Amino acid sequence: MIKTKRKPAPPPVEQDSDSDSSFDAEEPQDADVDVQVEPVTDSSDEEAASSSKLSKKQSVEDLEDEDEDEDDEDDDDEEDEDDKKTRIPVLNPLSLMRNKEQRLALFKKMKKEKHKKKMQERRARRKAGVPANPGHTIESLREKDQTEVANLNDSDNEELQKELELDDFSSYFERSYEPKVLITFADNPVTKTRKFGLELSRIFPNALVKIRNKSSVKKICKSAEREEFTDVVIINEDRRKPNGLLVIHLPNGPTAHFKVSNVKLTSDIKRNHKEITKHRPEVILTNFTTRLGLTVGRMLGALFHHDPEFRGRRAVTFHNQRDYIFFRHHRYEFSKEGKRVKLRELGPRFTLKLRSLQEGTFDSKTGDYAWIISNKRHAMESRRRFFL
Amino acid sequence: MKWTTANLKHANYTANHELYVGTHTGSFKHLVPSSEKSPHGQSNLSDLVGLDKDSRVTSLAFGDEAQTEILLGRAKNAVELHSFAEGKSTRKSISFTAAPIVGLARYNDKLIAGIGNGQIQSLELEVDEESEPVVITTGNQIDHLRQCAQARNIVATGGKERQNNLKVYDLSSDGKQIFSSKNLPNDYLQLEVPVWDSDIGFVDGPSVLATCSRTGYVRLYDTRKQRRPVASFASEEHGMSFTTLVARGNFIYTGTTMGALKAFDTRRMKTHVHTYKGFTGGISDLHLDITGRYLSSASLDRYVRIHDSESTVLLYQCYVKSKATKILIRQRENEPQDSEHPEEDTELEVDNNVKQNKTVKATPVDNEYEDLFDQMPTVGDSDGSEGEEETATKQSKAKLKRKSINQSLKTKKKKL
Repeated sequence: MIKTKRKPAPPPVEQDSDSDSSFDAEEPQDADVDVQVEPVTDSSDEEAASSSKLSKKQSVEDLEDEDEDEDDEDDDDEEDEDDKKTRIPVLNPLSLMRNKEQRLALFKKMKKEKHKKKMQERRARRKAGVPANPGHTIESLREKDQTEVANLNDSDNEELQKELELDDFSSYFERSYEPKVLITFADNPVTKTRKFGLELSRIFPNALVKIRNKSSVKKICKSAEREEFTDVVIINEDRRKPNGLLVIHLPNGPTAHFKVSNVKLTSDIKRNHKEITKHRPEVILTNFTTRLGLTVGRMLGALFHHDPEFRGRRAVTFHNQRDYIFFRHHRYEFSKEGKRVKLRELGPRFTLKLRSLQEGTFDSKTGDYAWIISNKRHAMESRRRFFL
Repeated sequence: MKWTTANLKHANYTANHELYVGTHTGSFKHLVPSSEKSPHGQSNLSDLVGLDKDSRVTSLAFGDEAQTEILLGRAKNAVELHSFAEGKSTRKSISFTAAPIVGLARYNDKLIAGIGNGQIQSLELEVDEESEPVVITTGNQIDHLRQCAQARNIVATGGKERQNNLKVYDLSSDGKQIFSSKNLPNDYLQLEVPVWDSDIGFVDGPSVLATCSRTGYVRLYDTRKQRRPVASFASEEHGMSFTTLVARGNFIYTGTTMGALKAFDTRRMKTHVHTYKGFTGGISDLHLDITGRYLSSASLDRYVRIHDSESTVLLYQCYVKSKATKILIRQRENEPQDSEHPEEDTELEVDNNVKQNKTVKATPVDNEYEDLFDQMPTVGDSDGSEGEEETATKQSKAKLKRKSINQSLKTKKKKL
């Protein structure tokens, strides 16, 4: 109910209107009900104040009178429709005073009042338990996505539920099989890439690392299917660093291609791999909001066993923020009262970014892409638009 | 226009259309972009509860020229007939002996289905007892079967591999094969050029066909002339993989797996002439409306879109919740609200449509202009027949040009 809106028109300090301060100031709000009432009282205060002061400073403010009146009207309008209107910069009447000493004194006083008011407001706000205005971030300004999945159990999501029942991961979520992952590399991987693959195998339960031996991805998929693997993960490298991750769900796809960056191995963050136990980890997928994000989240989740072993206190996180998927691996420990939790990062850590999602197993030339960003990145991307 | 995920409707998009969309989950949707209140509202024409993994919609076609009947084929062996004639809709389901159904056609009282295993099966619709379908074997795989809109006894099939290349069948003479295409000559290494006719389109009549391929070519065949393509586009360097095609007049519209929608001019196939934007996923199906001005597309990014085929402007975009696999666009009857008494109206409308269609087909537009050509002496008397043919084609091209101008005028008038 309460949004900490920017409310103009507080009782002015020395002069009747100092619009700058009035715009920045926030209305002290005590409760929900008062929101409607307060601006009215304020404006009346203001008028009274202004009328009393006006006579005194008439000489100085001849010029500003009109301006101020307009300003007041503007303020009233803005109370209704937030701050959509353009604001016209208004001169502070004090700055037109010729006497420097007086002017400085008045300025100081004004500043002090302003600060005082701000503090009062803050106190009132804290007392009322209203959270502070968080301002905006790129996330809060995010362009609304049509495909966003807010609540799966909505009545208008009936079709979505049906689709989730029928899609390629439905059998995993019905727990009809245990995932078995094959991890392999580009040809002749460097040590860092191999180590990365090895560390991934410690994270995915039931994973096998193999050197690729120059076989094609299609052949790998075929033989992996024969060997009853359910997923294939292929790490690509460039300039002696892992830079790509291809995740193929078997037997019928889909295939996701991620860009990998900022790979920090366990040794890079000064941890020992012996700390990592063999328990099956918990998987945390956060912030996958759109329909595409849902698919990608399901895909990443399907690499892990569906029953975590809570004894091991291992947690694996895929956190999506602005289309970058951050991977972290932690061990947690609750304090004795069970109120606080301690985290210890185990590594590795890396960042993924989706490049394409393709239907079916890997077939980059003739396969159908459900989503692809190459070729039209500049048309599609925007600072405020995210796809996951 | 700026790229966006929102449901869009362009202000200039005033045509009275309705869309039928088949999806990957198996739902069959009806959208009315022209409605004032909810241009993005969608209603399901089949119930969602009974869907299973094999109920993906794999083919969608109009069953008659008036476009009042829709044939819907799924990845299993069931076909549904949806009939919307006279304001009410009826449903009927028929099953074939194999799956998936990749193309449907109706000729008189027969229902013809192209099956993924390379068969064409036809069933009598009116017979009550279950009868075995008549099977024509075309090869061992079909990607698509299409029926010619003008001569409804003609169907064409195409698939992967050489033995499944483009073939044309005549249903009026017991499914006789009347044309089979021939592959291009071997390349400079004496290797066979790969064949994969992923979609077929008839270009204004039963004799000219266009095919596109996932291996990256678009070819134009003339069944009267030769078995090899008369014009071809190959995109080795771009690596485009075409999935679907629709052709009309001088233009072929094709969509790729990577979400590019291109238009080609059959007169000069060296490059594409238009690109339609707004896609983030592969294009699964295209359909033109009756005037040829509006190009509707279904895409795997879960959107259906309508573009202006001439100006390439995105006119309409709607999120349909699951991956759209098939789409049909249809001119809508004038009075959709009162479904009791608009029978005459609808019939009239339908007649109009048909007439329009015909005028588009055979275009005696400008008599003076025609006369001018008639009075011209034929050049090159030696090869009489060929020369004539050539002039005829030239004429027809000129006509087509004129036609396109006239058409645009017509549409403008319509708007007014």
